[in-house]
Amino acid sequence: MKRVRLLLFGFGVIGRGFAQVLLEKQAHIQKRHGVKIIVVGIGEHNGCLVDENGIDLKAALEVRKQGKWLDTLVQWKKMTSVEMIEAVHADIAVEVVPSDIRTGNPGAELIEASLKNGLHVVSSDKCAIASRFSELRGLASKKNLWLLYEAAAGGGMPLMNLARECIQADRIISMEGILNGTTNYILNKMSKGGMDFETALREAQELGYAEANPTYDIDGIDAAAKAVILANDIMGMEKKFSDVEITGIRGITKEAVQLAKKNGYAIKLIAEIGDGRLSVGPKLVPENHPLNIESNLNAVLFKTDIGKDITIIGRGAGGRETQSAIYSDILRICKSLDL
Amino acid sequence: MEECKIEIKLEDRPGELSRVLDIIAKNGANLFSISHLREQKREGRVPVIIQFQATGKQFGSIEKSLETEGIEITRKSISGAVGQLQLTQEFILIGHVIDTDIRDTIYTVCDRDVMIKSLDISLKSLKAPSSVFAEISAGNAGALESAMERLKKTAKKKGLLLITGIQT
Repeated sequence: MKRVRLLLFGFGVIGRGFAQVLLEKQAHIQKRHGVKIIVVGIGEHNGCLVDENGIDLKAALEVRKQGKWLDTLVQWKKMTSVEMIEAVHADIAVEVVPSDIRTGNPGAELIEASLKNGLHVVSSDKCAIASRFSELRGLASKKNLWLLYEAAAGGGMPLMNLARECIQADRIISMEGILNGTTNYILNKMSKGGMDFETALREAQELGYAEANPTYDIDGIDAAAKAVILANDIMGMEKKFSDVEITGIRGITKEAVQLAKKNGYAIKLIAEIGDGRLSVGPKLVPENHPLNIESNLNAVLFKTDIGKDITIIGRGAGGRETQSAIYSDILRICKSLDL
Repeated sequence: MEECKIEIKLEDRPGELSRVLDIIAKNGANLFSISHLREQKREGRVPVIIQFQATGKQFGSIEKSLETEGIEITRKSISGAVGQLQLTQEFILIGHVIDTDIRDTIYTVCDRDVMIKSLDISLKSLKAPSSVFAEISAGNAGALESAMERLKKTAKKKGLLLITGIQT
């Protein structure tokens, strides 16, 4: 049995989802993969929870459930996450903090420090990966370490794994898709529910699909960051966030959505990657098109030279759904570790 | 020979599809696939996508025969050389489309090879932003592309949001 020691950065929705799934799946992972995952540190913005023998994740989750912070637990240490990386022995860093798209921080700094200290990295942080893609990949390569980020683009949908493992002989000509569930939810409500933009956005916020500040979603920033990651990782481009031509959905009216519907179309926020170009913007999608998907789902259509059209539909976000991609990356690394 | 795809809406009753397939076969086209989109059945009509191989001339003849039979093609595409076929592009303009001189905007698109096939306007009130859905057709891909580039520039200049069709 391999014992893999792990540092977790961020204990928000994704971080707690990670802990919950580990509690549920530890036995399954041990049996099926011969790996025991031990979380030895959780880094938060104001300190770290450290236990070299393995953190009691159930207790940590319970504390947060009670509305308290991790600093109420006895293993809490007043140290920065970078200090924890340097002080605590671990194999893999799981970085799931939300970062700023302009700087990529704090996530990019944590990834960099982890790699410099010899840790493999799994990240769901699209802003960190998109803003410093080449630099971080270069560092990982130089250090001969894994840097995997399946969860950073497409959440629970296996996009990079699909391209890497399943369509290896194909040349991927283009990718296009819905990479943001919040906007898909809003546009669906405007189409099927006849809501105006503001009402649909408010409903998305009430259901927890949209943040209180929905800028990243509705202005296309979230989808653009993911498009950069997919373009660079899958199609070998060297794009930056500033290379993406972005139009959000703020200007779309209920009347326009209904007019599109009347003429056999849905309006969707679509990311298009191909011909060396990246764009995110509202598009007319025929009613019978595979990307005309409902609710807050995501979908990506790959066009390849052998397999032709391949469409993946799934949950692009969510504290639990994203874990499918995070654990896939972790187990991929675990298989390669000689412990 | 080109790879052709048409979408038609058929009454959901026996014999309807065979009428269409007869026309395709009689024109010498090579049938590839038929997809019924039953989940999208509306007002008793089911969208059907038919893919086949045909020359541009055969395609034109199939189109004409379907029209004669009262079967409307709702979408069509053909790979490779365009021949006599018309390429189409749909778009929506959102904003003060009427106030910013809709005629001027539309004329931006039209030229010898490009024409407006249909126009659908939604006007909530005189002061509110309006929406215009249009379909244009062109004799060749280059003409269509430059028409859309002209439209893009005009929309930007007039502060209108232009939404075009997805690439595939």
